[in-house]
Amino acid sequence: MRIPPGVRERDFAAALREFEAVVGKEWVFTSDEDLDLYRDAYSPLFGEPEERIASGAVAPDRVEQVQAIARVANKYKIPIYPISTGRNLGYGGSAPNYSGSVVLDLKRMNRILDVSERNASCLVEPGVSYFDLCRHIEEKGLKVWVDVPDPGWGSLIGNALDHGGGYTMALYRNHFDAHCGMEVVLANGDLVRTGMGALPGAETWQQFKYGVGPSIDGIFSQSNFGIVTKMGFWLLPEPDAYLSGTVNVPRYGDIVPLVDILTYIENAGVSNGMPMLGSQVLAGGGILGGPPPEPELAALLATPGGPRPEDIDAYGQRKSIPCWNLSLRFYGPAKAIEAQWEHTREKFSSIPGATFQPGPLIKLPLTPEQRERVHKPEFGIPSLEMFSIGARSELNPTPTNGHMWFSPIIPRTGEAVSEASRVFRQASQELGIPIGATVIPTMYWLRAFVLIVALPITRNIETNKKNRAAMSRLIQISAEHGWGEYRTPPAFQDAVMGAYSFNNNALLRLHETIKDALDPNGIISAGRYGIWPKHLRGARRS
Amino acid sequence: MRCRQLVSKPGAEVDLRHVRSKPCLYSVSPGLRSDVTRATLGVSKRLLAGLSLAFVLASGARSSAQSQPDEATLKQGAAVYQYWCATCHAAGRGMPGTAALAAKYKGRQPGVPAALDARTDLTPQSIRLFVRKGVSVMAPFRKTEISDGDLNALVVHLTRPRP
Repeated sequence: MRIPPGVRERDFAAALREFEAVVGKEWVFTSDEDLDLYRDAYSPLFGEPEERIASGAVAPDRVEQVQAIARVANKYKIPIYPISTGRNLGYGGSAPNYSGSVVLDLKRMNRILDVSERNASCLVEPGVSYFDLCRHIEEKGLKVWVDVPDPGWGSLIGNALDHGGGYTMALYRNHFDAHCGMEVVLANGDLVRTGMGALPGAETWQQFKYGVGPSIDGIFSQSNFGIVTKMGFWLLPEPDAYLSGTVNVPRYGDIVPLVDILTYIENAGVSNGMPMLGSQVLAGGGILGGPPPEPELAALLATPGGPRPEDIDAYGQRKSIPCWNLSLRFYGPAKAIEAQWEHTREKFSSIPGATFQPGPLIKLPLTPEQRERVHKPEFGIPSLEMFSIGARSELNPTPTNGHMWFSPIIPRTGEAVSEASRVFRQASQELGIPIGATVIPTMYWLRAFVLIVALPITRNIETNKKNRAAMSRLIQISAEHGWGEYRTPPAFQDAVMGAYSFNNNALLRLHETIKDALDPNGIISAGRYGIWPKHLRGARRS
Repeated sequence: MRCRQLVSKPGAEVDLRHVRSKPCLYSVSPGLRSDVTRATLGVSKRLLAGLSLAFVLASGARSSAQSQPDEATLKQGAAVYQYWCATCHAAGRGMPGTAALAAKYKGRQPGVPAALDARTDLTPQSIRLFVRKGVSVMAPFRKTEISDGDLNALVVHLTRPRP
């Protein structure tokens, strides 16, 4: 049997007995065989002494049991680590931040408590996955969509709390922003409802976020201040139609007006879907896999110090390939979105040489045949297609064992895309990792870009060590340029939080003040996003 | 009760730590998502060897699983398959599990279907091994996801006699 560090054997044994009394013997796991299922299969520390592993797992199926478990954990000072579906792969999976914690596995709490077509909202427990909610909606024939992230087996609550994003309309793509109302078990076992949920008899828990007083929901995301047991989310009423269109611009430098016009188009509400940027010149082959670039392009991309803009432009002109392709998406009434696309074309026409390719107008709902052809998350359909990354395929005969994500926020400008490309190209040479000629931002959010770069996880310790060193250096290089990660695996959470260091780490110090007030024994998720309880702080902060 | 203080125990039953690999890094652009695949790591020869052994060991157990599965268990197993496996292993596009197995068997075992539910060669032990140990990018499934009872039913479903 494993026991948590610093906990007396007899206390742990007593705590386990009390956990069993709460949830039943069947739902307390202590054998190595069962606990190995809680290892993070995508851990960059896999198989090393520093790998974060659990000393137990307890799986309640209702909130009263969560409260009871918190009280027992407090009584014996047992570190616990709540997970929802445990599928945050690439950002931690089901393993704790602090080795020896007891995983509080909330997967069994999988009730869909409410779906309101009229209010376009839902209320769910942590174990509810995107697949679960979408199946429920389909079975009931409700005309609402869920904004889903790439892997559909994740938890709505877990994904929102880790600041995940999706692919439909801007209003719903930021999953934490799209939540409305929370229920939280505090470390002492007390139960809190936020917003209108605090007012007995209110019918507006999923309608008005704030209630009255401080808006406190944010402190329960990417933190360890409580255990979220319910969350409400706003859903997207099924749109009438969908339209996509692509803007092509010829020159490398066109990225600057391209991004500026895009930002206007989105902030003004002209295009409400998720834009996607691509480059047949700079991103073909190379880092994104697929067929290798033809020899002339390969030589251009391999230019020491990176290809020069004038050479990129000359190549594109010779081959009649525009440098950038920006794909835009529109949801709404067919006539309205066709007019929005027309207005979009007018705006981008100010870039000399811009060309446009309208995609098909798709009347919704999709037919079964259409469902199989589309990129599902854009239509609120959960899928696991994202796991083609690293998986074996015809193009990839040697699969990985997973990946970890490096995901810095950069400014939403063309200049920043160029600068980040330059910086990370240089870093890739320094670190011996292929990043390629440019980095392509992802556009979940209206006001900033995020770069999402995957580093592979292997079962080779030396390779993992090298990739961890690369990740640490990338975090450091980012911070030197004012770029910080929006999310990171547990092994890097201290480093990433440490980069947000204004005024002698005032923000982290505030987090610690809150931690000490809400969870004085430090039982919940020690170390999550760099927030350590007082008794572990000294060693971890150094 | 015998206890030991937790330091950290890797505890991997399939030791893959000495497998040679080559590093890679790729970035994800949603617009080019379908192109995102890249060679990164040589698959473990030891894992393959271990799995082959499992297949061999399992061959004897297959007949017992095939004998008269009851309707309720078959139904439960089909539901487990639909819920947990079909999202990645069904026939059709956008199924990384199916694509991976198609690539795995192409040219080597041409008769083996890529979609899991169409297979007739799966053994109870191999199914249990993959569910509880995972393989490549497929992480293992916890007992709060697929309970031992569900796993037994899944085994019955995937090894059921076919017409």
